[in-house]
Amino acid sequence: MVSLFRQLVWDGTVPIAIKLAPTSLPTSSDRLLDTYYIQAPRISYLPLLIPEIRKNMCDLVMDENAAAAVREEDWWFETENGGVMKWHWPIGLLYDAHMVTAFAAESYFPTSSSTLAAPMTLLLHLTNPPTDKLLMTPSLDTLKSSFMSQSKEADFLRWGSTRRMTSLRKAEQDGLWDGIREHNFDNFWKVASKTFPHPNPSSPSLGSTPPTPNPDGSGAGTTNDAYAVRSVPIRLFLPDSPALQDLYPPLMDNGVHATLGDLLSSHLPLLFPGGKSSQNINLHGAYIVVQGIEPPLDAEIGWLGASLAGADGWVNVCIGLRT
Amino acid sequence: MRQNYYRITASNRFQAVIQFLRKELGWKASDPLFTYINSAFSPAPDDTVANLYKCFATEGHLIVNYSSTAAWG
Repeated sequence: MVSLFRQLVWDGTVPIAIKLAPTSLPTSSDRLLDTYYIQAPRISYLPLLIPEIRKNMCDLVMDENAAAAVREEDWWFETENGGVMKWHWPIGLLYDAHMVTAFAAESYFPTSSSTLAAPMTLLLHLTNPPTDKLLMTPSLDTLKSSFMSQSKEADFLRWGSTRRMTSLRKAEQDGLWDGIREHNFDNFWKVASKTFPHPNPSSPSLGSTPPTPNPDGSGAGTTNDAYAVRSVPIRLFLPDSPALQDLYPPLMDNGVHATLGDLLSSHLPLLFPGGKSSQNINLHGAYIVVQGIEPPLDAEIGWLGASLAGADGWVNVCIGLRT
Repeated sequence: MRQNYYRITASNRFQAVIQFLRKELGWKASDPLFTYINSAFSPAPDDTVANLYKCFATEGHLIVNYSSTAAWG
């Protein structure tokens, strides 16, 4: 079951419409090519799309001299309402965080299955990057080390040390990143399965009864049990504010498996007053998006950490407001 | 550095810690500076000090290590 969800997360894509910012274009440009569309993997990063965008858009729009003068390290992407797209956030997170801020739930989850997901429109600027907001350059070396750092931070949260990540051989660490760069599921998970937790065999799959919890935490030094981790790497994203991060243990004090509803009602009680007892979240003003879907509030966070985390190990929960 | 303990407002991003450290050390913007939490990992510069403190504090302090070369893998 867990491999199914990992495959679904890996295969998840988002539609992006890229337009060149008019101010970035020299006057000699051919402006007939207005928009370039990409269906981008959720677990990928914007810098990895740059070669494709350059080849299929910039090099066609600009004359040879202008195209040769373009420096990719000066590129940056902006949403139509002025949000700067961070190089080091996974594309799926950029999409979810933008869409829940810009649109109500009715737009994010179309009622008709024939309605395609709306593309996120990004303006591509070729000069004057706002370095204070981007915080990083789009260089692949920077991106790789940022990805490894995020993976280690997740490792530290789960197990109290980065031993699982640092004990990977150099070739294995490189293999993780190459798996993302080349979008190769098997190569990535061959290594990542050594660091990611696994839901234990008796843990519930969707729709079954939760098993008797085992809260003693014994063997936490060697186990990969998703419910034995110290804390699940989860970030909560509210519109237009910094992410919220805290220790989110998969078991509550009484040994019961903590759910997403428990977590939200204890950390954001004004938005999620009911917690577990009120499954009908339509009654409330807020909705949540994880990897592009609205997960049930009784989803256990230990399971989420093992099954719906991104390639860097983090579960990104975007919170939007219903109209 | 003049001292080893500092106070910082929790809502600051970690980027503010990096900038403060550069100033305190008298390092130029071009000098490489690597920062780590608990000698283990580099936090994202847009993460807040509050988040890092809640998750990684040791006995009431957030331990930040710095180096001019990459360390800890």
